[in-house]
Amino acid sequence: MINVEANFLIFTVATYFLAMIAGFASSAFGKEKISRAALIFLLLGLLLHTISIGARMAVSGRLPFANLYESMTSFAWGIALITLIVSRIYKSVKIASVVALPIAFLAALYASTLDKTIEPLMPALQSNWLLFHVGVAIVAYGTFAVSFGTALLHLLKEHFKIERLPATKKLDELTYQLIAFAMPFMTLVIITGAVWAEEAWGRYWSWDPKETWSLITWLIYLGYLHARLVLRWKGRPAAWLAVIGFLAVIFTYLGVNLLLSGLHSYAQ
Amino acid sequence: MKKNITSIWQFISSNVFAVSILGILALFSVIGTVIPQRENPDVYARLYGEVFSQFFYNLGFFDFFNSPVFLIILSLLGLSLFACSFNRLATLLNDKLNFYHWGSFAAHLSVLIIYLGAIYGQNAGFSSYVQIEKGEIFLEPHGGFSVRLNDFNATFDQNQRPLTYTSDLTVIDNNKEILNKVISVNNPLVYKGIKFYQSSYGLKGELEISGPDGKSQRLPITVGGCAVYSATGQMFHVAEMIPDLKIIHNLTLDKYEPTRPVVLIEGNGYLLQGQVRKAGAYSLKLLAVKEFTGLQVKRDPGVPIVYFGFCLLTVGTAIMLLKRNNNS
Repeated sequence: MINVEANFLIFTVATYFLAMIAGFASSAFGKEKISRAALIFLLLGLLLHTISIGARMAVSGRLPFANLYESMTSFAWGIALITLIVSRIYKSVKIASVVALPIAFLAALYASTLDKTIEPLMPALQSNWLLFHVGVAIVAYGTFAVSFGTALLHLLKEHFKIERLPATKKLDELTYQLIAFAMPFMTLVIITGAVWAEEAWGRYWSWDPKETWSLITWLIYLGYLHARLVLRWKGRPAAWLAVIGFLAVIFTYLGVNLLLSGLHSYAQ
Repeated sequence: MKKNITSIWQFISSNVFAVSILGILALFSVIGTVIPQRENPDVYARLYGEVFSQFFYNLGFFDFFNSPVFLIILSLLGLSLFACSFNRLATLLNDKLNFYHWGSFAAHLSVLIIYLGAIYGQNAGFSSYVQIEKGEIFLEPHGGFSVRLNDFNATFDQNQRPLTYTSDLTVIDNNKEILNKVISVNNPLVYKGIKFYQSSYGLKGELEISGPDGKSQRLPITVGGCAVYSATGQMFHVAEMIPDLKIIHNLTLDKYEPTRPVVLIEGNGYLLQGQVRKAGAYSLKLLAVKEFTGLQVKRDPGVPIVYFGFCLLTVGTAIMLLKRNNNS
C-alpha cells in the first residue's frame, strides 16, 4: 500500500507538471484546446492525488496530518483543488490558476521526496481539534496560494505590459475576493489552534514562533483588507501586500519548523 | 485644550493610524521569533557577543512579548480598536446601516474583548509547573486541596516513538478522596476551576557527596544535569538515570538486583542505589532515583471571556464574508 501511495504521488506530480505546461502554453497561444487540456490534466492529477492520500489513510487508519510529508501532500492537494474551483468560477481569469498550479506542483514534488514512514500520532496531536484545525488551514492557505498567483500576475502584467493577460483591474478584484474569502478561515486556524493549545498545554497563547508567525500572517492580510477597504489602496501596492502575505504563509508553514524552534516541532 | 483632545481622538481613530499599527505589530513580532526567548545569559553572549547582548537586553528583546516596547504597541492597537469600535457604533446607531456593518463592528469589538479576557486572566489567575513523584501528595496552595500521583505511564511503539503519557491522579480535599482521573496530553483534570495538564515526565534523584573536607552534601540530580559540591566547586555530570536496573542489558555488575535504581556519573561509571563509590578525593552515594510527572497547574478565569471573543470574531467575520458575497 505504501507503494500505491508513493507511485500515485509520482504520477500526480507528473500530471500537475503537464497541467502547468499546458496552462503556460494556453496563456502564450490563447488556444481553447490547450486550455481544456490543462483542465483535464489538473482533474486527473487531483484524482491520482486523492487516491494516493486515500491509500495513506487506509494504511495508517487516521488523518494524514502527522508529519511534514503528510501535511505537505495534503496542502498540495488543497492548493490544486482550490485552483480548480477558482478557475471554474472565474472563467474570464482562469489563467490565474496558471500561477497557482506551480505552487501545487512544487508542494507535491517536495512531498514526494520526504520520508514516508508511517508514524503514530504523537500525544499532543491526539485530539478532535486536529481535523478542524488543519482542515481550515488547508482552505485558508490554498486560497492564499491562488491569491498569490493573481497578485503576481498583476505585477507581471503591469511591469512587462503583457497584452494577453487579463486586465489588471480584474486581477486586482480577484486577488481581493480570494483574500476576503480566505481571511475568516485564517481566523479560524488561529482560534482553533488557541483553543486546542488551551486543552493540551493549558495556555491558549504563548507567543510560540508558530503562533506568532500565524498572527503575523493574519496581520498582513488584515492590513491588506483595511488598506483596500478603508484606505482605498488599489493596484500595485495592494498586489505587493498580497505577495508578502503569501511569503508569510510559507514561512509560517515551513520556515518556522525548519529555521526556528517551538512547540510545533513535531512537524519536522 | 478641548481642540487638542479632539485632534488626538481623530488621529487615534483614523484609518491610517489603524493600518500603521497593524504593520508595526507584525514587524515587531518578528523580533520575538527570530531571537531565542528567555534563554540563559551565556547563550546570548555566545550568539550576539557581550556588547550586543547587553544592548538587546536593555531593549527587552530577550523576553520581547513582555517588554515595554511590545506592550506599548499592543496598547496602541487596543486604543485604535476602541476608537474604531466606538465610532462604528455611533454611525451604526445613527444611520441604520446594514448587516455587514454590524458584522464589522462585532469583529472589531471581539478583539477588544479578547484583550480584556487576556488581561483579566493574567491578573486574576495563576499558572505554575510542578513535578510530583509516584505516590507523592502535592498540596495545591491556591485551591487548598491536594493531588496524589497514583501512577504514571508512558507507552511507546516498537520504534520507541511515544504513543501516550498518562498520570493517574486523585484529588484529596478535606482529607477525603474526592475524585480520581487518569489524565493525558489532551485531557486535563479540573477541580474547583483549577486545571492539571500532563506536561512532561522524567526522573530525578538524590546524590550524597562526601568531600575532602570531611563534610557531606545531599544534592538533587537530573539526567544531563550536574551535581556541584559547593565547598570546592567540583562537578559531577549525570549522564544517565535508570529507575530499575533490569532495563540495562549489556551491563555486567557483580550483583544483579532487579529493583535497584542506577545512575551513570561521567568518568566514574555506574552507581547503584545505596552503593558508595570513591571518586578521587570524594565519595559518591546514590540515595534514590524516582519517576516524576510534570504537571502544568493553572486557573485562568479570563478564558470564558476570551472564548466569547473568539465566537464573536468568528460570527463577525462570517457575516462580513457572506454579506459581501451577496452584494457582489
